[in-house]
Amino acid sequence: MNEAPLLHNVLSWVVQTVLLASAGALLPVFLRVRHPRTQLAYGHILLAVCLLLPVLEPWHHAPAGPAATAAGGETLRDSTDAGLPAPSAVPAQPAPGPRAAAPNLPPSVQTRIPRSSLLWLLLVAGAAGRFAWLLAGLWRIRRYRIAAMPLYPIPESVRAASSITHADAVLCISPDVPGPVTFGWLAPVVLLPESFLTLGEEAQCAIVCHELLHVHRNDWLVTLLEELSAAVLWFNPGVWLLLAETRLAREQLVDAETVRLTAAFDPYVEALLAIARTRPALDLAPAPLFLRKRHLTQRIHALLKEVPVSKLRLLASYASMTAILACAGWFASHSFPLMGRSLPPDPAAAAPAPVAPEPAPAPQVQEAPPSGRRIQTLIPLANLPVAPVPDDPHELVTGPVQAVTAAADRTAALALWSRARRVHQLHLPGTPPYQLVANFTAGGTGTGTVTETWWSGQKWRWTGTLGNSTAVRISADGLRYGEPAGGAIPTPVHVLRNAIFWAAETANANAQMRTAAVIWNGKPTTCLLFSYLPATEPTAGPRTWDEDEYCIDNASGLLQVRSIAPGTYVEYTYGDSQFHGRSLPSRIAVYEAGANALDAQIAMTDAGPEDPSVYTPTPHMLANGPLQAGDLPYQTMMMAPSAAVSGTVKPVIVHASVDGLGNVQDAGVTCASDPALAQPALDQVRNRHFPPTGFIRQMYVDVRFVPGR
Amino acid sequence: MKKTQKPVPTGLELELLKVIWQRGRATVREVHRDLLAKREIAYTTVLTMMGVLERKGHLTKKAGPRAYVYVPAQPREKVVEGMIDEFVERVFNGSAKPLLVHLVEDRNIPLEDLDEIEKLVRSKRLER
Repeated sequence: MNEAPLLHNVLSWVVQTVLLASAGALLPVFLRVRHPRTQLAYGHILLAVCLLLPVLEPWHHAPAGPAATAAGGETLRDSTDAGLPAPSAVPAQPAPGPRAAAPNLPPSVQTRIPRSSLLWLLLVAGAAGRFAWLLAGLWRIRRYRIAAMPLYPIPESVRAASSITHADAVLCISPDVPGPVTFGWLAPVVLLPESFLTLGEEAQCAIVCHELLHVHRNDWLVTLLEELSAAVLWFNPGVWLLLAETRLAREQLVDAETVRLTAAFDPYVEALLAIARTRPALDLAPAPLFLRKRHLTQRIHALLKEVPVSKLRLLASYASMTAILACAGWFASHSFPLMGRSLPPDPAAAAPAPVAPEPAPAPQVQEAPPSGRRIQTLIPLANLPVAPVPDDPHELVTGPVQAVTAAADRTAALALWSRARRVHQLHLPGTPPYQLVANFTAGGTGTGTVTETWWSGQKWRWTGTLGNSTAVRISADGLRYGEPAGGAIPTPVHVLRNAIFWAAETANANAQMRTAAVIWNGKPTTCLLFSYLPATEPTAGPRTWDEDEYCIDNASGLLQVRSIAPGTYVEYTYGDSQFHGRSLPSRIAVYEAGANALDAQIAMTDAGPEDPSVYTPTPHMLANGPLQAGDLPYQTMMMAPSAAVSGTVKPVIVHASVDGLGNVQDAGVTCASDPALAQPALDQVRNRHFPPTGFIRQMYVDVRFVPGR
Repeated sequence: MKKTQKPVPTGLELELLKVIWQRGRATVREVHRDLLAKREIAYTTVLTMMGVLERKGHLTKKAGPRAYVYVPAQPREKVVEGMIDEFVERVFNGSAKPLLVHLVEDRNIPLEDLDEIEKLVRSKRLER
């Protein structure tokens, strides 16, 4: 799990445990439950529930999109959301490498600590403090033990206590301890204060009896576990209260047992008072102490007023408490849910669409469940020839293509790709805070603007407008909120953001690769073609339907043209201005089916001082709850048996916007091997129900018409 | 010869057991008070012995409101039987005859008791 959901889950767990433990600690007080034995068990159960809540409660799982699953390959995406800069995917610490050094960063940026990191720091520091306190206590006990003298000869009072409790321990007289202390599990030791020797025989017997009962019950081990739990849950006042009640219940239980065993009430109370009169000391020892001063009154009161509790009343009280705690737990887990990994999409949802009356038996292509960047699960197409990609005025690869087989060639090609990719990775640590404004014209749709203000992976906001529709997304300390919810982002806004921020993210370094040398704007340029089909014999033929294309200027290493699928081309133009030494495109033009679909002018400036109001979610956003990460655009393939096709597979590429429920919102053909198949392909995609993901996706569906009825 | 499973009580333990047999059930405090009426004994000694008797299985305890109440785990006869068995085994190698001879010859047993013993012997013989 990456940092933001982990932090979200930890915070949810913190709130849940505070609610549950506080309710659990207060309920016995309100219901006047006074039964140490059951209270002790109750406290331990509640403590265990608090610690194990993440295991016991149901987690909220959002349906997955391609980006929801960890991406393989060498690439590190700066965001999982094609429409959102996702802080969750941004490493909390700067990645090693040249970018981490960032010599030109302003000091304010370099020294800024995200609030989430502060929270982590606080949680860990608190737990570490409690552990240190515990260790100091153990160390102090060890010192007392070393300095103590064994009690010899053993008095009759000690023999009597050992006899009636059926327990034994090494008893020592310590000049340091203010009151008796028991510790040790396999070789238990009881440290007695020097004042013990001045007490009467019956009082001595009562004290030793009390301590040996702790030995018999293994209370030291239980106390250590309680202290460890308290260290983990140090932030929880409910747990403090609960543990205080548990400690008191344990002592009251042992008090009652001691009095019963010795039948010596008065001497026992005298012993308690005698110990209470000794000099005060800190309750540092992580061991059952004979007496904590704040417990004295309650313990003597419990001894004096011990009355049998009706079993019915006790049962009714605990039944009520269980019911109330169950409600509190349900409320806590639903109000502050733990977010699990995204579930893989329902395979049933990806079942073939009712395209043809009967699917063709031989050639089969199934739509792949999205699981990475662009994944295709293919069943071989029975060696049928595939129609060539038609000419497109924006296609750069028209000449010879070389298969990259040699390791050195592959390394060089990947280095070029990584260089181009890095320019667009604006959401990684080390990027100076910026404000980006992109004004665009969407062919036939109108004009719009995309604005993004980014301070860090945890603090950002972007707004996309097209005509009257506006989409806003913000990140507040690692949680994403937005309006409108449900991923309703205008398609041009989505396409433009993908082109700016995730220009080279859809490729995978593990794919098959071919290269073509071309001239673009008069400069030598290398086009990299990535294919994700199962390995076949590399060819020198023209671009294939499944290849995506990145054309990169050899000299500058800047991405010039990106084509995620035939028929869709994004052209980047770079001006003279730079942002902190980084060349960014000043113009982006998107072409689909030979026409200009989007034209954007981009400007980027420093963000200026951080303004929390910019990324503070509105009450409406909060009411909608945190949003899921989106996904990168990706290709998928679907089979379409058709009687109109014979002897050849005829692909058609459809660009579709698919909403979170898997319904196609918008679709258009960008490239067709046969114009007659454009409308059937569009119909196929529009009628298709894709696996729901909870967020909008840009999909390039490769509809492959194969011979069939 | 019948074997008793529990270790036989020592003299002091038997003293405590007699008090409890007499009372039927008793707390440590009550046992101490009764013993104290006969002789000087520390409360802690009584506590120790009660713990020993419980461990040996002669006593069981039940929780009372302010103190545990001890009750005999076996009837008095059973304990005495066990003690005699152990004595016969230890002193007379398991043979009861020397003990009976010793009792009849050396002890001043009243005639009524002797008659009763005779009847008991006769009926035992008929049973065989």
